Amino acid sequence: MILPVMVIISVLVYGLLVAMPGDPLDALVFGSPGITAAEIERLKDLYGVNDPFPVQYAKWARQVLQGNLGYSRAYRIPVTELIWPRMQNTFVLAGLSLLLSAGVAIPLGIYSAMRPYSVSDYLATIFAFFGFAVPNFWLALVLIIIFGVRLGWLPPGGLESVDVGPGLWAQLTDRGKYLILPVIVLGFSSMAQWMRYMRSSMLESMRQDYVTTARAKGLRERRIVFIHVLKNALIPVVTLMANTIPIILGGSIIVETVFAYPGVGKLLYDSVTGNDFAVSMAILLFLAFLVVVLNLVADVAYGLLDPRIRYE
Amino acid sequence: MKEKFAKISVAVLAAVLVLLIIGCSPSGQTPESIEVTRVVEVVETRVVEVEGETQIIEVTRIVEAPAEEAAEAPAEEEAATGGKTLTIGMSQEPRGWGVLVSQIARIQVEQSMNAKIVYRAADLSVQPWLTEKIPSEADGDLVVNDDGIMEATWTLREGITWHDGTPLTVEDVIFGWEVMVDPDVPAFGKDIAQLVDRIEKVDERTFTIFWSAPSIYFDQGWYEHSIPLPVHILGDVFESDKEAFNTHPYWTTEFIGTGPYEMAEWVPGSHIELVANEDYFIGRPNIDRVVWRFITDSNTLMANLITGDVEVVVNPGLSIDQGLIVQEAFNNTGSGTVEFIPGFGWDWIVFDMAEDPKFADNRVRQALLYSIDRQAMVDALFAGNNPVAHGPIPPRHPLYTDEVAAAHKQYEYNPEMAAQLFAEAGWTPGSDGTLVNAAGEPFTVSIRTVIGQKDKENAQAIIADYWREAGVQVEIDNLPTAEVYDNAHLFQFGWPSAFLFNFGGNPNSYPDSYTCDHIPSEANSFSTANLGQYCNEEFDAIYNASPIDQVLDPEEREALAIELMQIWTEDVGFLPLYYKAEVVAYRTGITGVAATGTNEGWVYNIHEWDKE
Repeated sequence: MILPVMVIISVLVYGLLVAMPGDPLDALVFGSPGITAAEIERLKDLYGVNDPFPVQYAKWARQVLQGNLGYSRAYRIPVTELIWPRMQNTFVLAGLSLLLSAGVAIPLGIYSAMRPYSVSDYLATIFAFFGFAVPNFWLALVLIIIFGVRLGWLPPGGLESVDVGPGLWAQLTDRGKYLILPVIVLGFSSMAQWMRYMRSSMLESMRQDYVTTARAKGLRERRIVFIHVLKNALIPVVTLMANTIPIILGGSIIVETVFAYPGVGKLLYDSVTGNDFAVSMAILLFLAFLVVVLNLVADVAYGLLDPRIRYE
Repeated sequence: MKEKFAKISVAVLAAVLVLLIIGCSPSGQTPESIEVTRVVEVVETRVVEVEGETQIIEVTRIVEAPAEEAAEAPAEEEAATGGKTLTIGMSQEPRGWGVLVSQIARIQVEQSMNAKIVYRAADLSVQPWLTEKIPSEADGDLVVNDDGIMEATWTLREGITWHDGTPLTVEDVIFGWEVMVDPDVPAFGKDIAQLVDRIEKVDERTFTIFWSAPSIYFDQGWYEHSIPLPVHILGDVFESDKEAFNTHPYWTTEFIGTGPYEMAEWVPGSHIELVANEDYFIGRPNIDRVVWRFITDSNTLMANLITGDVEVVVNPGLSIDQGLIVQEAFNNTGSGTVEFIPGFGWDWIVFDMAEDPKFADNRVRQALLYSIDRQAMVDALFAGNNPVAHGPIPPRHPLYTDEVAAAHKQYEYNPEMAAQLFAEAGWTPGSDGTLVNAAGEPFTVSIRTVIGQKDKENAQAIIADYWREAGVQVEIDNLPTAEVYDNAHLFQFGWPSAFLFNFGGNPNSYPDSYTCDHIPSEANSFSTANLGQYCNEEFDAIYNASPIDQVLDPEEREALAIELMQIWTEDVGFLPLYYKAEVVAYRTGITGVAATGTNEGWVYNIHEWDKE
């Protein structure tokens, strides 16, 4: 199923990109007032800009099938060379923020569910609504002002220090310093969302008959919550998490831009606005592929967590 | 169950560790970075004269060495991490090098790596760089023949080498021009380079540029993009395959120049690291290492400057209001300097006269300009740093003499004069104060600018208010950058009745974009810049009788500029709003920064910069 879905997505995305205003030669025309119509046409032919959509798409698809994602007209290097290192950076950022979100949201959700309508539950709810309501870019700027400019504890954006000393430990801590703020910002909204889901899912599960039975059998509350309830409560949360990962990658566009972090999100934004078709196509298709694959992962995880669910 | 939890915990921990290791691995070892390691060997010692001083230089050859070898060379590593390091920030990242890329960021960084035929100094004078002197009629190396052909003869300095150790030759110079005018190479600025008929080699260091007609650009080689190119790297591919030439890695990762710094590492999206060129023909730079950091969010760039993570910010970087914020922070702590340099760009409003004929009446355009208190506007928006514009020539431009300034008709805020001119053009206030014509139709303007460009959006809002006060019905209709810059929108008048936009401008721009044949049309493939559709036969007659960029005599040029500006400012085909200042900021302890404020590069003297 994945292949036909990817082909359909690629045609749609390619069509949308071609339909966007402008082409890679617009900047040249803007910057060269004396350029003649013949010169522009000659260059458009050279770049294949004048080809009809099916021809352009077929050329692109043939290249991709041969393992060549194309050439970035804006950065003047092959797309693979451009995207791969940035993808690594984004995976690190998104991966750490995912871990942070899950690491905070799940325990906090469980804690809230175990003490519903208590002061601590209300505090956690306020925290969650704050997370929903605060835009990424605003939180990023506030954290930069507080921890970067005022306190001077953390660098106000970037990938690494100019003068990082030799040795793996020095490089590890240096990169870590630069990751702290973007990881917090990127993980913040999903943290709030997952916490609320975890709480309601736990409350839902705790109302089930098997919990009453377990309590009647005299099992300890801790064992009931962490062994019986948690496993069932995690099912919808896992699905949600799998579907949130592409959103986190999408959210990295803003976070990477504000923190000057060279990742794939920022590259996508630059390539779309700069008419860099090959780069936009590669990233958008990768994101589409990720959505399809993560849906599959969620389905598999669903089956693992709930033995009643079986796929034929 | 416990076992399962233990397994999950171990798996999570392993994932965290893997991510940390990948994320924290040194960038130089990731495929994204371009690691260039060079071993320098002395070939011979020469005595040369540099700027009047006799210097002994060692002619060296730089041999590229694989990264593995570098790891075994501790001295190299020390050189990379020790010594003085300077961090310069910009909000834009270069997308390659050379004339195939038109970007201020490209010009700035490349100027620290590659020398041109000439450079422009902070006082706007043009100075020889790769060459010994600028040709002049007095010295006999600038000659205008009877047939109109102008010959400018230049001599390269001695002892210039490319970063790979190959000597710079006259062939490299000629090749640089040939590339610019080749029809299959999408080079910027080729329109001026095409005015050059040919370049001939005279001897090993001398060449003559033959201009088809006299040109004031003679003092810059073949225009501001006069950069030699290495024949030994690009010559063969240029001859055999133009597509391969246009995508050659020389333009990006394998770039070499003749300038004060060499590229050591480029981490796309983050920074470019340069190391001092030991053999720079003017002298070794004072600072050992320069790191250009690219921070596209200008607020984050500002924060980096305030904290000292970035030490210098050049254009494109800070807006005027951000410059004022940094200035305040610096003043409080004594940690730096912010300079606002009068620039060459200017913002204006034009009208689609073909679509809405009421704007073709210059009394209407004058009335609209009289209606705006531009001084109050620039004071409020830019603390007076962007002065009110009266015409297309900014005050620092070589053409803008006192006499030329006096020839400008100025439109101080004058609502009464505006009302009178509107009335003369047939627009009088109706019962509700709205201007109406004899047919009772209201005076409407739909004005567009670029979403997200705060300066323009703010100015537009203020102007709309002034026009409403004058009785004009104003509608704001903005679009994002990608759509505004689209050729079909920008040059084919896809905008509504009014458009607030800008010209970049530089000291080389002369008033040739205002002739009738510069109105974008099918005939000129919609590539010309007279978006105001300004067309005045008298202006054209004066310009065409003696094109101002072909007049070499400064007095004659001034007389022409006076005549042209008298007509232009009477007509106001473009409503001039303000000239834009540029911002340069540097932290205390950095010396030598002398920005030009032009779009030709601000770091021409970076080898003289120093850091305490």
